[in-house]
Amino acid sequence: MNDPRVEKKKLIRYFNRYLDIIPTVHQSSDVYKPGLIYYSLSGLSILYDNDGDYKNFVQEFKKNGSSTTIKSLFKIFDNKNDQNAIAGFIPTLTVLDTKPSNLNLSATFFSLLSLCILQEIDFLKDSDKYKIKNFVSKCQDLENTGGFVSYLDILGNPNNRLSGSQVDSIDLRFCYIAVSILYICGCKTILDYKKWIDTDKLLNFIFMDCYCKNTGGFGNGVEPHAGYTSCALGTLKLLGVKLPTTEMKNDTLSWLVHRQLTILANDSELKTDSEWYDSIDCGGFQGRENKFADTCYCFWCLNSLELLGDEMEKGSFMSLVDLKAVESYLLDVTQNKLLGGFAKNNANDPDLYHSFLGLAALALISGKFDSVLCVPKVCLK
Amino acid sequence: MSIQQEQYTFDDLDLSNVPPIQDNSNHKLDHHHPRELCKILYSKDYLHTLKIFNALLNSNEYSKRSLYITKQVIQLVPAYYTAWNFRFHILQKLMALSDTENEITLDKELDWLDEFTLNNPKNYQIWSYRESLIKDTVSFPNQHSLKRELPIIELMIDDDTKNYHVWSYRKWCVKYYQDYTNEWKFCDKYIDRDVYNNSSWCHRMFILENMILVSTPIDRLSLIEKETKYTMEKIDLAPQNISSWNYYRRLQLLLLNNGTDNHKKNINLQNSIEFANRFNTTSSYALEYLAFAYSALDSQKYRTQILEIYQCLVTKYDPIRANYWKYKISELE
Repeated sequence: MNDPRVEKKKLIRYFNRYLDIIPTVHQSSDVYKPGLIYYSLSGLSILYDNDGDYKNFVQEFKKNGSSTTIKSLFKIFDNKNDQNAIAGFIPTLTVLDTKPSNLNLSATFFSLLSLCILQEIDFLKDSDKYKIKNFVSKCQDLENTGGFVSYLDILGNPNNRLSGSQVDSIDLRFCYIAVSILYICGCKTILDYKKWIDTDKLLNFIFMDCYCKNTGGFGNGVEPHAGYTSCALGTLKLLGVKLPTTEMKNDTLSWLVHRQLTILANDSELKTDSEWYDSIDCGGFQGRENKFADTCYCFWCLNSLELLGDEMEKGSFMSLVDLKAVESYLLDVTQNKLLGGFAKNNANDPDLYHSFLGLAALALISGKFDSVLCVPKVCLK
Repeated sequence: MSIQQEQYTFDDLDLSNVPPIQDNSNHKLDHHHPRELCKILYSKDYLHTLKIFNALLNSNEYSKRSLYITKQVIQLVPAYYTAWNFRFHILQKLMALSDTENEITLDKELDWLDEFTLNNPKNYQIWSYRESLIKDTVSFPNQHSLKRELPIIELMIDDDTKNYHVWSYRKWCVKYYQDYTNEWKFCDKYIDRDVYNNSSWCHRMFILENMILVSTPIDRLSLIEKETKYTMEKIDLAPQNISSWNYYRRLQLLLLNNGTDNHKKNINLQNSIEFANRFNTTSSYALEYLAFAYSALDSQKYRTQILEIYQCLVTKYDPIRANYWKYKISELE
């Protein structure tokens, strides 16, 4: 991050503050703890993006044993039967660690990414990875949709076998997370994935239930949404599957580039009386049509464009939007120059999620962020 | 249930069996301990409630007091999935007891959920939990209807007219109950209130597509014509509105894909071009529509027109996407 507009020192302080202490008012975020750790570590490693700084950062964290917090969340459930043994991460130590139903796909994903960032992924043995993949496999809804839930049911299916929760939502986010975990645990080709999950059913879910026909983009199948679109495209990229039709690709590309907000100049005949129009949003991205710009959607849209783009030989589709304008929106409008951090928009206070994603969007633009796994490229070397 | 009835005792629980939760909020940083990441300063109340919950979960106690504790935990950590999962199975088991005094009904659970939902509009576990309750007709027979669902949905959308989870839930409901009769009026209400409400326009298209599936070819066409007229009025009100133009374009796609002959299709497209041309200086979306319609008619024959539109978007009407429009131009060449 060499742009002088990035408040580097303040951002480093901002992320470290979260890594140290989370005040009581945020205790309801307890089950998001692995996410909070990942946002902070990933944010810091974006800021330490040259090799030397990153090495020092990893050394520093190794020296003070920080990865212990993450490793302590790793749990194995071994029923004296290797075939059925599962493993994964619980979100926090306040939950019971004797129930497989407390394992969570999101907690597992964020913990694995944090271990990658800290260069501690070797903590997991091959047998551990096998059990994690087994956990992922049991979160797929094979009966109906082919999508994923994020945790196992307390009771399991009627035969008392471990199976996905009956009350969780079947969701594109969990599909992306599930497939990413399999990738981190060694799946590389579609045949590798097929050992654990039904990829045909999953693809059917993505294309039939989540794709928004005639608008492009993905979501609940009715209204496209930038976050879900990134999850769908990330899943496809990991599986090595292309969008099946040029219409889908063209519509999705068009939908994505249209999420960048423009200014309606005073001298132009284009006018709007929309309460959702704000000239300060210019350059930023919205998550859906006729919504305000938001820092996190700058990331989700750019990331989607990047994922969609290198299917073509023409380089990244990110270059089809106004990248200078996104940078100005993030650095001059949503970055908090006093406290450090990024807010959702010009009016809110900064928060951890938007601080990470604001930086991640900037790192994507400078080619230093991996759009498939959502970690800085420096961590994958 | 009155508050008095909700005073359960938990003194009999052996809390030492649950994994001890370290409360080291006063723990000073020293160099012998590893640095703990994202240490949350839990309140005593929080830790105590979680311990009781863990003890009950650990001993698989599907009781009324467990039900009560899940409520406490959900209020403290709405995103704690296991609390929702446990609560669901407790309800199932209590229902199966068919104890006349147990006072557990689906309706009461939904009442509580309604109230919780109003206070936690961004939580999404609520909606999948709600779906699971309604789908479980074995545990909760003969007690559900779409009518029961409509008020909470409407309250939530009144409060946040583009709440994604609530619109998704509405879609799920009308599909589940196969009842589309309330939907036109519902969409009208939110489009009347704000013609820029994209969620409402998208829901409207979802309804229309489902109506088309069950209509005769003649009804289909009259339905699309009626919608076209409606949309043209809304575009007149606010020409620079991407949501109404998207809907208009999708109506034309429905016409193109719904069985009329080529001659009729061309007339429809020509008419739509005439309509869109009325806004060719007041709406960039009208220009984009024109490019679409010319391509649908004959992209070779109207190549000049299409190029000219893209040029206008680059230089005057949509310069922020100049690179995209240039890319579209290069695709034509």
